[in-house]
Amino acid sequence: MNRKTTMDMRSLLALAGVSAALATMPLNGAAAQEQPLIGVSLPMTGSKALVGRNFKQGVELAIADINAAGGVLGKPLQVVFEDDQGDNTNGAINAVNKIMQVHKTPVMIGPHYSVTQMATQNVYCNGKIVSLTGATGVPVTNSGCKYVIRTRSNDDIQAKAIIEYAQKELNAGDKTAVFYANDDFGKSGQARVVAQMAALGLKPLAVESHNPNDKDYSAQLAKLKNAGAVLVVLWAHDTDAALIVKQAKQFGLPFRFAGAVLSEDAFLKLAGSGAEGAISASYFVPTDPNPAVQTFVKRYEERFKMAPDVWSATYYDATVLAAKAINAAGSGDVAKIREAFGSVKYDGLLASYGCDDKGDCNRQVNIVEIKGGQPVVRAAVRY
Amino acid sequence: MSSFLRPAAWLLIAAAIVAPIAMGMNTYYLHVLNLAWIFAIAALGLSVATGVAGQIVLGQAALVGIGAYATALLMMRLSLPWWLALLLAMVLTGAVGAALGLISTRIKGHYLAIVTLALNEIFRIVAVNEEALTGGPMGLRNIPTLSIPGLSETITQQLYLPLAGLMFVSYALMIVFHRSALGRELRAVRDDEMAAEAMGVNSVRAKTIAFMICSLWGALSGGLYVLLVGFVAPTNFTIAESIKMMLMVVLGGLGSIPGTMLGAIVVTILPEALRDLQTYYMAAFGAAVVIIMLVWPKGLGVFSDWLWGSFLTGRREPELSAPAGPLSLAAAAAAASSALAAGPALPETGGPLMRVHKVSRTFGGVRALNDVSFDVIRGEILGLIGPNGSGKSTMINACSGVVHVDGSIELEGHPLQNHPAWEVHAYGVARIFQNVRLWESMTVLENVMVAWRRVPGQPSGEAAIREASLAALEQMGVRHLAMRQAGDLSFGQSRLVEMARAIVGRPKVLLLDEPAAGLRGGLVLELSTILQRLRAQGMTILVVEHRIKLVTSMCDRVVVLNLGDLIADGAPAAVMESPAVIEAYLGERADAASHETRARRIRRRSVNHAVAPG
Repeated sequence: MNRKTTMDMRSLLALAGVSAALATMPLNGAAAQEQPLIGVSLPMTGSKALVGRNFKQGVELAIADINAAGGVLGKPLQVVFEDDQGDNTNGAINAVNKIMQVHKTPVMIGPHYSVTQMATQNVYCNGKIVSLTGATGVPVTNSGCKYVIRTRSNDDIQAKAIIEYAQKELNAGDKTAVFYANDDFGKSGQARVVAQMAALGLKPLAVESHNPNDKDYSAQLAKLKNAGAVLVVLWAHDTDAALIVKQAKQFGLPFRFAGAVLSEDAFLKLAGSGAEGAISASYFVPTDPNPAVQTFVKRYEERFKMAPDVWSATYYDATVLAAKAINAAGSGDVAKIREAFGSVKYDGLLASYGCDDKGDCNRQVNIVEIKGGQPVVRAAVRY
Repeated sequence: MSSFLRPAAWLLIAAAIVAPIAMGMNTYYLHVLNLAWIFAIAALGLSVATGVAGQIVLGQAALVGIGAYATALLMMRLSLPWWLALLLAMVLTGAVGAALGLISTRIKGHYLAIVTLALNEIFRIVAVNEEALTGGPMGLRNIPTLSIPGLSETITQQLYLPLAGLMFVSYALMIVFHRSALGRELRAVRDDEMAAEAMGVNSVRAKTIAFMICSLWGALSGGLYVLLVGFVAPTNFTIAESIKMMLMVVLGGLGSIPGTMLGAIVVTILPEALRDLQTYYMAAFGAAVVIIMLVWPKGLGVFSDWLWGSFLTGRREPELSAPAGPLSLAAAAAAASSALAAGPALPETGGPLMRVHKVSRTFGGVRALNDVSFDVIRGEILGLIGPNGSGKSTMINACSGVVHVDGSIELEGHPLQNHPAWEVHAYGVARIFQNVRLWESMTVLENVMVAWRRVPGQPSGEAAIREASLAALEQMGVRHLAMRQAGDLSFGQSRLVEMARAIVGRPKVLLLDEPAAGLRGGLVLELSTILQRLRAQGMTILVVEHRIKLVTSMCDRVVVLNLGDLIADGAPAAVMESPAVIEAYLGERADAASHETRARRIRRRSVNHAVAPG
């Protein structure tokens, strides 16, 4: 009997604990005092937490700048951050729900990933919030959602820019081969490159693939050489891409590489001199001579003691663009803010933004070449 | 006190569940709770496969995913109504589960866990690459969602109560299943698969059913997710999600079905409740999990099991006071001898019941049995003796279907050799093991109930099984232990429970591998009385025993094995005098000493054996 009683007491305590935990949930929400205007859904935990940090610092720097220039609607801009765990759809739905239902902000930055955009559009495309995203998947602004604003050009533009540059500047349009990682990133890149080539009446000399994290690429490189390629469009992850260009250099192969990640920091560090001459279509490189970019880089490094990356710049721009649209709308009304995006112009770090009806605000990528170990902007391509 | 506490706790829970919707809580919280209900259903399947049946599944997210994609595609491509799509998706996923179950009979333990992990990865790769069907990495969107207009305005609100209700119904179903005959079989397979098979549990069927249940609940949960959210993508069903569901089961206490519900609720809600800690909230969640596991090593199941009370455990037998004497075998033996005196005459001893013909078995280079042939006569107690390593246990294993052999073993003309152990048990062969093998997490009564066997002309059904099992326990003098957990018993008690488990199915042949091992000296002769009584009830007994005293007192006949060869077969006294037996035991030539002294030495020697059984 004694044993039973203690057991019951314990159970009662446990029950009390659980109900207390449940009861605190709504209280947390009610505790927020002033209504922030922007909610940010970004990766703060999980495998994407590192890029999420750059994302957050970009937003924070933009807020500092906006508030120094007078804030939004006459008040200092306030934002709330919610973790969406990167490409985790359930995490993103929860973060978006919380921003919409608890924080009730009219504008949301993020989710960033195309798949989390697709997952949350059912939730947010009801006229209660506008989402700004850097997601580049083609469907993001083609799903019929009227409340998405995209601040980067889509994947097709990236592929198209590389192929046109190869044809016009390198005269290698008919001597181009494709080499891709056999996963969702590489496969979809490869498909877009081949499609863009077909649109120009071109056909790749060879299409080779590798498994992510392979170490030896000599067989595929030999095939690409035998096919007579002058340019290889490489759609691989940064560490693999670095190994590939290094091995190509060791074998003394005659072709150049072009691709999506060939200007990123991790790639440059690992590839060393093998990266020389590589071409990429990229949204942002810190070496861009554009004075706005240079000022941004300097201030970012001062504040955060690290170099900015494409995430920092993308979401710096997105925050500034959002603030401009809210100011132009003159209120926190969602419909007016969405309308204001149609007229707001902003010369940002990534591009000169101007939004169309579908919500695409950026049709630009930079063609970047690696010279002396540094990415150098060769041309800005606009469509 | 507890009679008032439990209903109060349930009232509180009912209020906690209805309150959010009644108070008009906003849809963010409702959505989190909806996810908790849905994940609780997915984890329920895992709880049955891993917690109840002991099959580690690390790919539950894949099964949920198959259910989700199937529901979505059936609605989108074939325009099926939601309920039909959901049902078909469950059937399809159930088939995948059945396949997994068949694989699990070949691949076991950790290897199986890795196979299920691979299933998860295969699912992801197919979902990412079969873009035409699955929508690729971007997933499927604009899936028709389930809307119940009468209930409220948004889908999240409309589905809140139905989902919560469905979750409780599914848990109630599985709790009833847990204590059903099939549930007992699954738990027996988890605790000791070999013993389960030998006591009549078809482990292939049991595991297949476990995996099917696992995938059915997974599919239901996946389908409900689709109906709620209207979107699926491969990133919904990653290995991390599988691990999360496993965490729900472990946090709820492995093996406790009600605990899994609480585990799922904690794992889904706690991170959201901690969100305001920003960067560190997942770390705080991890710390909370560690604390829960430290405070309640058996997980949250202790509390939830209490909540469900007798609904979980079934009707409990009133505890009987233990009869006098440490094992109460004396009482049973007294009952047995009076029953013997009053009971029917011994059955006709007559023709052979079981025929062992030229049975051989080698383990590597060791010939454990070498063309052994003997008959077991109906109604006799046959002793099987021999020095260590002579093949006695192998013989018992062969007769009970646990090891495969060359040659033939027949019971009333049915071949038994190389049949699965559960079929052998169904023919009417039951056994005990040399080292007691009870299913330790189950109660004594459940242990016995698992081994019940359908006998034509005898009543069946849960109540009859229970009666028969209690009677068997009574016969062994351990009825007062019926509600104890088998793992808590002393060795001697376990031995008697194992005996009860062996006789509950009224076997034709009872195989006893050293039944007296672990019993105190005084109890040994009482055991002999009990065996006499079992024989009187119509059982034929084959007993392996070291103690010659016991063998001579209870056996009608003895066969002797030495190094895999049958060296003697006959009445106990005659066999003891056989030169071959004396040589086998003493390792000297038969003419070296007088028969009388040698026979005495054998007795002494065999007692030494019994001290250190092996």
